[in-house]
Amino acid sequence: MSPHLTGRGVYCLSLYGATHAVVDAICAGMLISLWQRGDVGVAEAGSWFILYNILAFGIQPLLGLLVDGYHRPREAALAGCLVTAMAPFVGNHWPLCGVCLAGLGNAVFHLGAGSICLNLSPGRATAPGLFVAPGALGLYAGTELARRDMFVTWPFLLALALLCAGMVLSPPSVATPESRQRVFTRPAAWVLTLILGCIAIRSLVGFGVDLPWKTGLPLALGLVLLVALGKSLGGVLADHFGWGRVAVGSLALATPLLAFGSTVAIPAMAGMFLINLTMPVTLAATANLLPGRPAFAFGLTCLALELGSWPVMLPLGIGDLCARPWVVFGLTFGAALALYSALKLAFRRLPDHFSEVHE
Amino acid sequence: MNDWLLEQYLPAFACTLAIELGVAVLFGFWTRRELLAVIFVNLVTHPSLHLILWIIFWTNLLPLDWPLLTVLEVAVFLAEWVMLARWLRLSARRAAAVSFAMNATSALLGCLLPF
Repeated sequence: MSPHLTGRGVYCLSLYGATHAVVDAICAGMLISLWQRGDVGVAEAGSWFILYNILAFGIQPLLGLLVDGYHRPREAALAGCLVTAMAPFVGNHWPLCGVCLAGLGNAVFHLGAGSICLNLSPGRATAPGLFVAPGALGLYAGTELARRDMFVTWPFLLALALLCAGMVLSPPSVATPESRQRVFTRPAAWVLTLILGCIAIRSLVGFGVDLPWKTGLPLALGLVLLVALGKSLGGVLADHFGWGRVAVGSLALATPLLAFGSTVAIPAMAGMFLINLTMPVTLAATANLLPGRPAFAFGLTCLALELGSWPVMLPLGIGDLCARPWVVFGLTFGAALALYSALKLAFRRLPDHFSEVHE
Repeated sequence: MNDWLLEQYLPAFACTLAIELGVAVLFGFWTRRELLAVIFVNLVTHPSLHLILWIIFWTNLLPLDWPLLTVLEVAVFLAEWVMLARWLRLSARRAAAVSFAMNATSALLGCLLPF
């Protein structure tokens, strides 16, 4: 655990991390249940899924500007929980409204809680990694329960109510720092572009890579646990051993495993673990480039994730191309090169933004 | 020959290069010179190793089994050790550690990959 995280910080992180899992589980469970119950057709479900993703991820930068502008991350996190909790009820009567509420609630919660967690260890990657990781578990739990027609909303809503009570009764005492540098320099723009490009490529590889062994529950669960472990450990390891070492090294090592080993469980799982180690570094680096705008930074990374998934998720006919071994190799190694260039430039030209961490 | 080159050799070379660069970065290699040295070292050892394997295979000189592959892997480790130490002026201990880690990782991950 990072020495920069206090006991109170660990408490906040646990609270918001657990809430992240529950919020994602409710959204995934509600969406899959709508489709599973036959409330909507396949084509309609596809377009609603895209709408949900646009609301939950695509508009996050815009909402992030509002959250930063009003300096209200706690209220945003609570509002996000409330809107998400309403989504299943509304969705029972007006499915499309339910989808919209789930998307908006998820987005607002992510921005509020994300910016609080980014400020728990300012400049460092430990806290954002530990906050994001439980989301993968919640998403998987909600999806699997709904697929098996076992998703019941009220236990999740009860958990969400308890966690919200924790947030209200014991609010985090973290202040959003004022922007240290208002002028966005050319090197910062380059670094930001490279990092967002790396995130988008990572998302494309994550969605595009062919994992035919993932059908059984034990292996699928193992994969999700490794993804969550990768996200949690990535920040801790990067803060301890150096951002470049951990993020670029693990991305380079993941390259052959995902490109040529994705059809076999062990190398593919190792590859997914390694590629997820980089996530906290890219998130924290984006936030460091935009001081005083943590929610906007969080939103930009989510937008990059969303854009990265489009070539595979949208019916563009290039999904198969993205699963070819040499394409996966080129993309993943390209992401490693982009991250290497970004971190080299960042530590050389923008040392003030990265004073809390080492290369 | 072309099929072997495209379906066997090139993937193996690309994977080895990515793995050894990744391990080098994990060991703190960060400058362009250090990373180029790792690439050049691989450009020397990887084709040489496969040329030797190819000759042994076609001349039926020795059985292509684990002891032979281990000996060749040790030879590659020694060659990369010496080259890294000389080109980057590293201490013998550090160069040995990096070379060992790079080759052990690429051998281990190579066993996991299905080609």
